[in-house]
Amino acid sequence: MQYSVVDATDRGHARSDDRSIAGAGIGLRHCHLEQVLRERPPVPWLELLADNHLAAGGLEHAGLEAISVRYPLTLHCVGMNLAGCDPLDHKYLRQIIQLRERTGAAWVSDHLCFTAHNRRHYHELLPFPYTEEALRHVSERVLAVQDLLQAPLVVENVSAYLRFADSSLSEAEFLAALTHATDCELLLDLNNLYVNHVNHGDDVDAYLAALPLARVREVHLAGHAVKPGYLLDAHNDRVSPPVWALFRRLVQALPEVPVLIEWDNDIPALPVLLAEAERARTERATALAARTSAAGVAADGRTQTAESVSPC
Amino acid sequence: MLSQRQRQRQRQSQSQSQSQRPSLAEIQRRLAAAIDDPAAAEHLAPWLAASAPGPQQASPSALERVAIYRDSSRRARERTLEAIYPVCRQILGPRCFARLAADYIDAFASRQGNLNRYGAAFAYHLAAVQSHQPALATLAYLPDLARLEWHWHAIYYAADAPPLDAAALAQLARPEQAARVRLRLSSALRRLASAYPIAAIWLRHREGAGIVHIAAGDGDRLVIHRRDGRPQVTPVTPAVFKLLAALGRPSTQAATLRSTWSPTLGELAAAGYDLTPLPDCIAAGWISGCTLGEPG
Repeated sequence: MQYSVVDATDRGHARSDDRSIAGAGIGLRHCHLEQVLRERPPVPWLELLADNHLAAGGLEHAGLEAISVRYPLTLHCVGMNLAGCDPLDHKYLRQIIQLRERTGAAWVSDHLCFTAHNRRHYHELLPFPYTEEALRHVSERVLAVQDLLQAPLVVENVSAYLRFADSSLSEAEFLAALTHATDCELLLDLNNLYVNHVNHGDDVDAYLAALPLARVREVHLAGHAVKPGYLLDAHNDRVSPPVWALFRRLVQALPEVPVLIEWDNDIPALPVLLAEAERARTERATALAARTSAAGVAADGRTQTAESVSPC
Repeated sequence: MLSQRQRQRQRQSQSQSQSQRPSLAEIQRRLAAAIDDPAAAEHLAPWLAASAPGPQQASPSALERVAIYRDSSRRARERTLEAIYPVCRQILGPRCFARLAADYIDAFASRQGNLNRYGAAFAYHLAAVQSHQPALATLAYLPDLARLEWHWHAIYYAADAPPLDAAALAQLARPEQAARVRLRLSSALRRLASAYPIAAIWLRHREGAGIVHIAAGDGDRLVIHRRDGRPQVTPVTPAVFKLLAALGRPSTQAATLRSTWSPTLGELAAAGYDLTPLPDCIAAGWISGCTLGEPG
C-alpha cells in the first residue's frame, strides 16, 4: 500500500486538541485502514487501539501518519497494567508516548484492571478487589503515568466476570476516588456497565450517581455476546437496545460527550461500523430533542414526558 | 436467591477476609495462577464473592467465571500464533496446530504486553515436539518453515532502515580508505539457512498451489528483507550469506561498545571473506549505513 502525501485540506500534524474530538467516532482497525484512507468517510474522529500500532517502522508508520493528518485521533491502550503489582513498563509507556507524538492523539486511555503479574502477560483485562489498598496503589501508578504523558490519563471501567469478597468499594466509588486522588479522567463504557448489571446485578442508577460525570471525557459503545448464564463483553456485534437506552439517558447529563463505536471480533464491513456511529449521532439528537420537548411541556405546566431511562 | 452452598461460601469468604485478608499482589498472583492452571483456581475461590443474583438463569459458578478469563487469555495468544504461522497451520491442519499452540501457550508465557512479540520460540517448540512425536518427525522441515514465518512477521514490524546510497559510500571513502570502512546491516533484514527448500515450500503454500514436487536440492540460504514496506524472501549464494553474517557480527571492539557497525572491510578481507558481492548487497538495500570512524 502506498500512502500519498498530505493535501491542502489535511490537518497537518497539530495535536488533536480536546475540542476536535466530538460527535460519534469509530475504533479504527487494521482491516479498514486502507479503505478509510481511500474513501475518507465523514466520521468525525477515530480511536486507535494503541497496542496494535507499536511497530518500530514499516507500513504501519506510513499508514498512521496518513490517517493522523486526516482525522482527529485518540489512543486506547490495553497494556499499562494500571492495577498490576509489577513495576510499570517504561519501555511500553515510551512507545505509547512516541505513538501519541507521531499521531497527535488528543488523549490516551487505558482500563481499570491488571494485565500482567510476575512478568507474565495475560492479554486480558483482569479484575482486582476494590479496596483502599488498591486505591492507593492504582493512584500512584496513574500519577506516574500522567507524569510521563504530561497529560491526564483517561481510565475506563471494565466488564468483570469475577467479584472479590474483599471489595469495600464499588467500581464507581473506586473510579470517583481515583479521579479525586489523581485528577485523571474517565472513559465510561456503557456496554461494560450493562454487562456488569446483568452479570452481577449492579445497580445502574447507583453507579451513575456515584460516578463524577463531569470527569467523563469519552463514552464507549459496543456489542456483547449472550452466553449461557452471562453476557460476554465480546465487541462482536451491534450495540444492543438496552445499551442504546443507557446512552440516551447519559446524554441528558452529558449532551456533548464524544462517543465511540468499538468492534474487535467478527469485524464487519466499514459501512456497518459507520452506520453504528451514525445511529449514535441520531440517538443523541433524538434524546436531546425529547429533553427539550419535555422541558417545554413542563414549562407549560403539563405532564413531563421524558423517556423512561431504565436500561433493561 | 443464593443457594445454601453459596451462602456458606460467602460466610467463609467474609470470615477469611476479616481474619487473613490477602494483599493485592497475592490476589493477583492467585488469579494469574488460576488462569495458567485450572487446578490452581481452588486457591482463589475463597476470596471471590458469591455468584451474582443477576437476571440471567443459571449464572456460572465462581470457578466457571475464572474459566472465562482463562479461555479469553489463551484464545488471544492462540489467534496470534495463527496469524504469524499461517503456512505451518495449513500444513499441520487446524486441529493439530491448535494442539501444538495450546502446548506452546502452556510452556511459554507471554513476556511483553505487545502481542506481536509473542511466539518467537514456536520453531524451537516444534523441533522439541518432533523429537518425541514420530508423526511430526516426517515433517522435518517444519521448524525451519516456522523460523521463516517468524522472520517474515518480525521484519514487517522492524524499524525503518533507509538503504545506503552507493554514491554516499563513494563520497565517504576514497579508494585508499576503503579498508577502514565499516558497514551497518539493515535492521529490517534477517538471514536463515535450512537444509530444506523451505522458500519453495512456503511460497507454494502461500500461493495455494496443489500438490507439487519440490526438489530437495542443497537446502536454502535466504535473506528476508523489507523493501517498500513489504518483506521479501531472496535466496542467496553461500558467499553472500557468509558475508552478510560477518557484516552483522560486530568486531570485538564494536561488540564491547554495543555497536551495530561491522568490522572494517580491511578486517573482513584479511579474514578471507569474499567482498565482491558487496555492491550487489548495497544495491539490494541490505546495507543501511557506512562510517570511517571507530565503532561507537
